[in-house]
Amino acid sequence: MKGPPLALLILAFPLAAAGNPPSHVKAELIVEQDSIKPGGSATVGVRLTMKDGWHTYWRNPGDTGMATTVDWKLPPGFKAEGLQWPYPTRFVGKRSVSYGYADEAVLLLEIRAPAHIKEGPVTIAAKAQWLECKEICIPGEAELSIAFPAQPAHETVAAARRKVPVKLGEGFSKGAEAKAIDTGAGIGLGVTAPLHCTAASDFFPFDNDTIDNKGGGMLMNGVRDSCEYQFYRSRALGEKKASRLAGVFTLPAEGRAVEISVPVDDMKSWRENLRTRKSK
Amino acid sequence: MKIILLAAMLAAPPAVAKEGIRTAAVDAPAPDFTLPDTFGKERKLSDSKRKVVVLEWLNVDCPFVHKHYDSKNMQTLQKEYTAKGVMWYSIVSSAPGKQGNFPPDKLNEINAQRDGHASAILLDPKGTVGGLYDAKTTPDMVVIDRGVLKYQGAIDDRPTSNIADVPGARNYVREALDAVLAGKPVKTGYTKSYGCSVKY
Repeated sequence: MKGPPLALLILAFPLAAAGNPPSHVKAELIVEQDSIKPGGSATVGVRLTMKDGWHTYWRNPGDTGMATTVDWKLPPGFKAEGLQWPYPTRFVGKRSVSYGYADEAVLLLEIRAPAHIKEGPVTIAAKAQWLECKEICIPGEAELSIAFPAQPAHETVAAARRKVPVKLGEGFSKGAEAKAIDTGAGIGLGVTAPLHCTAASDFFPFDNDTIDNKGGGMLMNGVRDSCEYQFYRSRALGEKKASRLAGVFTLPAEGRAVEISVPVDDMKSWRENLRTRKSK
Repeated sequence: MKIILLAAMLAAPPAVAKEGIRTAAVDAPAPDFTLPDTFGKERKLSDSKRKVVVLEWLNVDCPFVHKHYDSKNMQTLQKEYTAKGVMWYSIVSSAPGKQGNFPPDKLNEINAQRDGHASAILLDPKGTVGGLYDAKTTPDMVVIDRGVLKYQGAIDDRPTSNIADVPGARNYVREALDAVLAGKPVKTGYTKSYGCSVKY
């Protein structure tokens, strides 16, 4: 198969916004495949490349910072799913902890084309806004676009997709379960095989109202094929019991993560559950 | 179904129990402190124990602080509530050499340029008071009513550095101040603050 004509290849290069110096982040749109068929789907990504020492933020930035936002402008009739976020890393400050990405962040979007596409290049545009931080923080933004047929970035997209959490119990985590409890002194999370936690495993909450962002400690590993963590309660809870623990549990050794959303038991319901299970 | 024991949850590790006791907490006495202001005057929190006091963590170069000063949002609040007898302290906890740490004269100059109306700007270069209140961000806001902490957290419900997000935002500080000044309970006593990390 012949490659796309030269003129279209040029179009494929992202048209980054002029201005906004001095940014420490390069923003561009990438695509997984070189084309999109009528009625077909494609994955597009916003790739942020950070200069050394700089980072941008995850969907929940943690104690400080700001989540990156992307406003997509798709051609008429195109539909999109929600933005997919690869699991983040933890940035620990003196009194605060944030969640984000150093080096590179690739946020993915699945788009679906209508049954009929007009002749000519299909242009996907997006406005990305982020906060870039090192010692200090600077807001950044870029107007981006890319047109099919485009130069594909299979590997970058595939690597990012692998780091997008799967729902607990699906995919590689089939058969795994999770459970959480609020003892009033702390919040515990237990996860079971086939998830094999390591000391590097981490949990990133979707909100800051349940656990404190200073993170947890692993308490037990491998007992009854599960591992357990304990977190500090979020100050936002006050005297209230936590109701749900939701976030991303990571297995950095495997470069993967699961999305967990479980109701949080209190001590009473935990004891009752245990009794019911034993009597079965 | 697998049994996840969570047995270790029965006993909280000492670290967690200890951490559970916070120095500053909603509806608890606000930790007292004394700090110098930018004119060299010592300011003691408990000297205002019959008043309503606002603490605002300030780093003049933080984009989130810019959002609320460039929009005049912060100055408007300062003006309005100090006129009602509220004591407003802006606290700079930036360490020497870090962003936002300026000599007092420079802070006074910037404050004049911005038409700031805080009662005083306090210098906390060691971060001691920031630590007492566990201030994580600029701005981090605290409302104290006659010595009791009534609100701590974000200035409003739009955690961005975008100035366009100021109009229409739910301002938690205004809500808390209006409540305590009217002798009513504060509906939302704690929110997660947002902004730049305090440059301790």
